[in-house]
Amino acid sequence: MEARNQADTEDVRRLIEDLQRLGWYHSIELPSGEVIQGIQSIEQQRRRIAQFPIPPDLRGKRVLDIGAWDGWFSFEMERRGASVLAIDNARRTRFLKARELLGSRVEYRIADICRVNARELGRFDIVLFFGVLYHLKHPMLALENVCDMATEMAMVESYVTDDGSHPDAPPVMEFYETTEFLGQFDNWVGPNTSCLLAMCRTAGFARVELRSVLGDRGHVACYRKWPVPAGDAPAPALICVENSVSRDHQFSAAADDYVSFWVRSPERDLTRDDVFPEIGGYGVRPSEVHRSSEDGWLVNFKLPPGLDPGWHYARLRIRDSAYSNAAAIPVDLTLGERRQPRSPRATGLRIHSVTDGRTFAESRVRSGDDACMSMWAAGLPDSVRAEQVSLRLDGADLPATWLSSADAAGLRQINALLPPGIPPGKAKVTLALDSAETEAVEIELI
Amino acid sequence: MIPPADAPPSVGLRESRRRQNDFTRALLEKGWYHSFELPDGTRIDGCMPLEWERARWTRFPLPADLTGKRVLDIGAWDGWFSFEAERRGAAVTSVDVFECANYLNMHRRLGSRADYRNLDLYEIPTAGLGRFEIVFFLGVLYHLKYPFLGLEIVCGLTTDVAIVESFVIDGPTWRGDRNDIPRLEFYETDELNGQFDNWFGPSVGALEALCRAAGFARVENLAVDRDSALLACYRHWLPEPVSPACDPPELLALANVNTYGINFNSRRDQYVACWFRTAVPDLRRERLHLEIGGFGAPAVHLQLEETGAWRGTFRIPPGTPAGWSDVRLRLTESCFGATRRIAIDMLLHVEAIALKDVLDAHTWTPRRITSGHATCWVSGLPENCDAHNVRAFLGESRAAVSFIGEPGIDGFRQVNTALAPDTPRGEKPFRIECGGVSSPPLTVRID
Repeated sequence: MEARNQADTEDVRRLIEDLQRLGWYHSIELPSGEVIQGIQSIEQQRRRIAQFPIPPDLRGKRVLDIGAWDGWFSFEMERRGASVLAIDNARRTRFLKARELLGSRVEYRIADICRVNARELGRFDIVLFFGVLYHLKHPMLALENVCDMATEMAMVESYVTDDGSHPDAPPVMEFYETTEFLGQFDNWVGPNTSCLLAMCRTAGFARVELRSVLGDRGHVACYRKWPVPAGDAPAPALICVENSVSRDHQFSAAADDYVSFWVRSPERDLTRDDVFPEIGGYGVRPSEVHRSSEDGWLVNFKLPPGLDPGWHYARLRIRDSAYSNAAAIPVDLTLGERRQPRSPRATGLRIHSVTDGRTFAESRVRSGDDACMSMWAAGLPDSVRAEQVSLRLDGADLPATWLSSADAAGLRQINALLPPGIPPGKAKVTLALDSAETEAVEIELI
Repeated sequence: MIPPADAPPSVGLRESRRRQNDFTRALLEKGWYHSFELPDGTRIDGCMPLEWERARWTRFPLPADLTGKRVLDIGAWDGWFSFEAERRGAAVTSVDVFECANYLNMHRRLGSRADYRNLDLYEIPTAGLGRFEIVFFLGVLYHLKYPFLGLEIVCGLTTDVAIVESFVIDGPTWRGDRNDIPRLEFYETDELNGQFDNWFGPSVGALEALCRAAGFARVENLAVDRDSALLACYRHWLPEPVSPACDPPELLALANVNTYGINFNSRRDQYVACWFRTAVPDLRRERLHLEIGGFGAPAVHLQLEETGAWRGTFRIPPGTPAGWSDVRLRLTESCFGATRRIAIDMLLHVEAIALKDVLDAHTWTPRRITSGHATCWVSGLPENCDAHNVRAFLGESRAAVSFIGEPGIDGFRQVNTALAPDTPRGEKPFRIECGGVSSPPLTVRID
C-alpha cells in the first residue's frame, strides 16, 4: 500500500531533517534565559499543556509523564511544584542533558507502557500521556495501565483521524500495517475522536472530557472521580453487589473484573449517563444500565483499576441524588482474610438466629438464584433504619433490604439478598451497625 | 467518516450492529451452539447447522489425515472443530475461558482424549502447552480488548498454520474497499450483537493486516461471508520456485534496528534491517521473503539507499527459539540466497579479553591515532559479539565500534572504532570491554 498521503511523508522527511539539524524535538528554556530551540516552540508546548485542566500549583502532587521525549512537559510539571517521574521506551540522551542543564530532580526510567502498571511504578495524582497512543499496538492495554496508575486524572493527547466535530460518530480506529501513516513504521493506530473517547471510558475512567481537537491532535481529560458535591435528591438504595461474571464476591484487580449493582430507585428512564457508581472512591462509567423491575435497576461496570488488596466501599448516585448506602466488597482477599473481624465489636447487639429468607430453615441458607437470608437480632435501637445496617457474609456487606420493628421479645428481623454465585459451604455471618459489628455465627450455605 | 448532518448513520449503524447476529435466543432454545453427529447416528441440533460446520471445515487448507499433528483450538465452545480434528488423527488441546458443559458432555460421549483447559487467551503462552502445527482461532478475535496482542500470541503458538475467523464489518463490500485504510470499529458496550463482551470489529483488510503484522509470513483469504471472514495464516513462505526467474538477492549485512548489533531479545518487539542487492527493478516489499529460524518474516519497510543497496526492515517472528537463527532472503520469483545468522536471547560468555595491537585505521601507525579512527585485534570475544555489546574506551571516553571481523587463525578479531570528536588528546589507555570483562589496556597517543 502506498503512504496515505505523499505530502505527509514529505512533511515528515522535512521534520526529520530539522530534527537531525537541531537535534531537539522540545524547546527547553535554560535558567540563564537561553532557549534550546527544538522543532516545537515554547509557545506550541505551552499551548499543548494549556488544553488540559492542570492546576498552576502542583505542590505535593505526584506526576507521571509517559513518553517524556526531551522532557519539557516533565520539567514544566516540576516547575509547578510536582514531584515527577518521566518514562520513555528508550534512553534519550537529550532528556538527561536537559535535566542536568536545568538542575532538575525529575526521576527518569525506561519502561513500556503496555507492560507496566502501579505494581511497578506506583500511583500518581496526574498522568500525562501525550503523543504516545498511536505508536502502540495495544492501545486499550496501555490506557488501562494509564488508568491504573492515575488517582485523580490522566491527560491524553493523541493523533485522531477527524476534526472532532462529531464526537458521537461510530467509534472507528484505522490500523497502519507498515508505513501508511506519516511514512513511519512505528505508527500503528489512528482512532477517530469518538473512538479515543470510548477507549478512555472503557479503560476505567469515571468521566472523559474532550477538551479540544487542534490540527490532528485530540486532547482528552480523563477523571477517576465523579464531580463533588453529591446532590440532595433522595438517595437510591444499593441492595446487592456481585461480580458480573462469577456472580459472587470474588474481585481481583489483576483480572478484568466487572461489577453488578442491584439498585432500587424510583427514577425513570435511566441511561448510562445518569448513574454514577463508585468503588473505593473511584468512579466508573456504567457499561450497562438495565431496568430489572418496577423500581429495580441493574448497573454493570468495570471494577475500577488500581485498587489495593483489601475492603473497598461500593456506592452510587443517580442524577442529582445523594449517595446511596455503602457496601464493602473484598478485592484480592483470601477467605481467611475475609473472615477476620473488620470492625470493633458492637456493644449490646446480638444475633438471635439466621435463617433462609424463604424457607426459614435455621442456619441453613439456600444459595443460587433468588437466594436471601433473614436474621433476628436483639439490641437494635428503635431509631435504627435499614440503610444503617448490613449483614456480613464472610466479611462482605449484604445491605439490609428490610428491617422490621421489634417483636414482643425485642427482636428485629433483617432481610438481605445473596449474590447467586456464592458457593455452598460453611460461612460466617455478622450484623454490622454503623461502624461496629457483632460476634460471628456460622451458617451452612446449601 | 464524518456523518452527514441530515441522516446521522451513527444511530442506524449502531442499531444494525446491535441486531446483526444476536443468536442468544436461538441458543437458549436449542441449548447447543455446535451441531453434532455421533458415531451411532444420533444428531444434536445446535445454532450452527452441521452442514455449515462441515462446509466450513472443507475450506480449511488441511490434509484429510492429521495423524501426528498437534492442534490447538482456542475458544472451542461445544467443541465440534476440536473433535473433528481429533477424528482425523490429531492430538488436540482445546482452550476456553469457561468450563463448557456441552464440551465435557460430548468429550465423554465421543470417548475423546482431547486435553481441555480453562484459560484466558493471554494465559496460554505461560501455561506450558508447547507449540502446535495447527491453531484454530475461530470467532474469538472480536471478543478481545487487545486484538493485536491476541494475534501475536496465536502466531507465537503456531508452527505451521493458524485458521483465523472473525466477525468483519464490511462483508458485502470488502472487495470494493481494498484501497481503503484498514479500520476497526470499537464497541464500548453492547453495540455489537447486543453483547457486552464484543470489543472490536475489523474490516476484512484490517483483519488481514493485523494477521500479517502479528508475524505470519502469508495470509490467505479463504472466504468472506456477510459478517465474517476466514483466513489461513501461514508461518512459512511457499516453496522456492522450481524454475526461478531471477538470481537470489545478495544479502550484504543485517542488524538490529535499535542496537545495530546481531543480538535480539525475543521478549521485545524487535526488528532486523537487511541490506541486499538485486538486479530486479521496481522491487516492492511484498516480494521480499525473509526467513528467520525457519519462519517467514514479511517486510514492514523497504527503501533504496544511496549506495544502490536495498534496505528491508522485518520483524523477528514471534516464537523464534533462543540460540542462533539462520537468516536467508529470497524474492517471490527467486530461490534463497546465502545464509547469515542472528542470535536470539543468547547470553554473553566471556572469560578473558586480550588486545594485540592498536593502529591508526588510516596510516596504520602503531599506538598513534591521528585520523580519529583506531583499529585493533582482540581475542576472547564470544561468538555473538556485536557492535553493541563490544565497547571500546580511550581513558574515560567511549569510542564507537564500527566493525568486528571474523576471528583469524590465532583467534584474534579485527575491531574498528571511531573516536568521539571531543576525546582528549595525549596518551590514553585503550581497552576493549565485552560482557562485563575488560582487556588489559594498551597505551596509545592521540594527536
